[in-house]
Amino acid sequence: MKQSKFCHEAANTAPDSAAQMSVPAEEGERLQGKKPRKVKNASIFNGKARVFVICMLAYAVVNFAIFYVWMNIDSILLAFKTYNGMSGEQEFYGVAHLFDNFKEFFVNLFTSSGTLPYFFRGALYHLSGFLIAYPVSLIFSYLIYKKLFLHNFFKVMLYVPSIVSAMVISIMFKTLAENFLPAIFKQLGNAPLSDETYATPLLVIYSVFFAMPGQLIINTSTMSTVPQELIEYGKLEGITMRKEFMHVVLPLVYPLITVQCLGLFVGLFTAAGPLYAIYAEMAPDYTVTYGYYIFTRVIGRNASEAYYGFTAASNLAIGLISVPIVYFTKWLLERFDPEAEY
Amino acid sequence: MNAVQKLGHDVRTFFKPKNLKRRLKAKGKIFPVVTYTLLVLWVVVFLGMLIWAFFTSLKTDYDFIYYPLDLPRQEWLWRNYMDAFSALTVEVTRDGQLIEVGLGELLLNSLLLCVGVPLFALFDVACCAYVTSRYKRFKITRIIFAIVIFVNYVPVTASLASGLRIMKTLGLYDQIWGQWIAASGGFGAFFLIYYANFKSIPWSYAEAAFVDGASHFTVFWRIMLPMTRGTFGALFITSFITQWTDYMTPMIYLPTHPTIAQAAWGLQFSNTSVPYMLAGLFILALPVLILFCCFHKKLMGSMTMGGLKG
Repeated sequence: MKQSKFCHEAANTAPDSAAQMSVPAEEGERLQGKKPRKVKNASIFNGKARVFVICMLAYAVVNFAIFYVWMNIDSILLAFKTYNGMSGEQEFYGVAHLFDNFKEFFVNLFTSSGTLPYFFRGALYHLSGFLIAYPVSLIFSYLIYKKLFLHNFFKVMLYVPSIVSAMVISIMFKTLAENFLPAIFKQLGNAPLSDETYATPLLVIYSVFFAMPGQLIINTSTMSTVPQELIEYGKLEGITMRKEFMHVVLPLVYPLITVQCLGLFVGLFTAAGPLYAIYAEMAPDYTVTYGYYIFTRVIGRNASEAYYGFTAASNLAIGLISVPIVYFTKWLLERFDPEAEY
Repeated sequence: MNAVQKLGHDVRTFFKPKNLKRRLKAKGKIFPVVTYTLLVLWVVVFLGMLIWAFFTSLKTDYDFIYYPLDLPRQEWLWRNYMDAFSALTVEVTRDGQLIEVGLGELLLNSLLLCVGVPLFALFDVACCAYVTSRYKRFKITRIIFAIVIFVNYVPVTASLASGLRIMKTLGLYDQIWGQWIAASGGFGAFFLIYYANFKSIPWSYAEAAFVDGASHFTVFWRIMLPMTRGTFGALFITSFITQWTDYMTPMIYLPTHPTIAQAAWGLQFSNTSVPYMLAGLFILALPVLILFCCFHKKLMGSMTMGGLKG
């Protein structure tokens, strides 16, 4: 009976498959051989539903159009503009000078006091966090997933840095590095974060250490989707924990690893790291990353609207340079995809 | 060899490096022992940092300079917290005048952001996630879902400069309500969590309401949305914590409406001593830690709904 079928469908399926809901009168008329009356608004997905959906989405769509679409378009157009000090407006360069901002970006990279070291430093902080800390974060997530001794306590402790905020952690680290560590290691001197020899290694240590918790919750919840039968079978076969991690869990959570690795590569050149939290605008040149350099051109005492075009062009150029790197990483990750399924 | 000597011999033999390694390798214990030790070390170092910072916040300047590794020697200055509380101020320029914004206004600005931004953002996300998960018959909802996936997983970032220009053009710059609007996009990171939540609610509740004559909005407002109050609570607290500790967004977009996070960050650059500064940081972190202690299960549980299946 259609009505009972509808009730079954309504309880168990998505509404689009239950859209052809009928009223009881139609069934009686069909059985008598009469053409069923079309009952107005029989489906719940009628004109009113359309109005409802539009109203519910309107604000979000407008917000998206302004703060995503318009913002990105404006960012691209800004890369071809220059600041007119007289009018206070950003104006397009003439045709002959349309790519001057990009020219400035590339010229700045390769001059003797240029910005190329900033790129490498940013990549160093980012990659050290990725190459060293990311595998460790997977291991930590695995240990929590296996519910080893005190796993709840460790789970909370690993989650605390993301709760307490990077700014608080950065400043505590700065205080530790400039007061606690020199008291133990006299060779660090008075202010190692302002010393060319020690500043970068300390910042790398910071990047690695505080990247180790990683995305603990997402990792453990994805690992918990690994079928228990597989784990039990492995135990019966006598595989060790290392083999279970490498050959069972990791292959099954490989799609998550792919997504996270790609996400990590996105900020390779533009990440500012903890520099602003630790130094504000006074970071020594031997610690500066390109992301920090761009940020201080837009915000702070050294900022000016005259830099807007240059920073937009830098952002665009870095985005274009990053695209092949991200695609190469994606290809590499897919090449090593074990394609494990269960 | 008597019993004690035999015991000593057995212990020494067991912990001999060669024997220990062979024993661990035979039972496949090297990996868990090494990784567990690494985890313990990480936690010990991190806790050690927090504990040292806490004890330092209770020191006098003399103790801090001459005995940085020790517990407070002269006295335990709990007064540092009271003094840091009053030292939390920010200087801003309003109408051409340099004024000092005190704790009351800092707290007010912080609370307006911490409550307003999550409320606006989560309501908008709930609206989008609900229609996208339950009204798939309409093509627009499928398009919106594809846009959400694109926004969340494809890295496209506009420059900060264009963000500032747009905020100034729309008159949202330096307005707290401007932040409510700018942050209330419905396609953010919480969308997938809400989406999964709405999909898990049986549609039969809505069907029963429709049969009783309820409108679509009534079904959403009085049936579906209240069923997600657990998710709303967890995400609200997460967003509250994020806004509470965010010093950068107010610094960029609200130059004359500083928050308490900005004041705590600025302490390190003023003439306050390090113990004061650490006390100020703990004052900032304390509400967050209390919220986390009360709701950590909900907070950590809510994040699992957005997890990816391998």
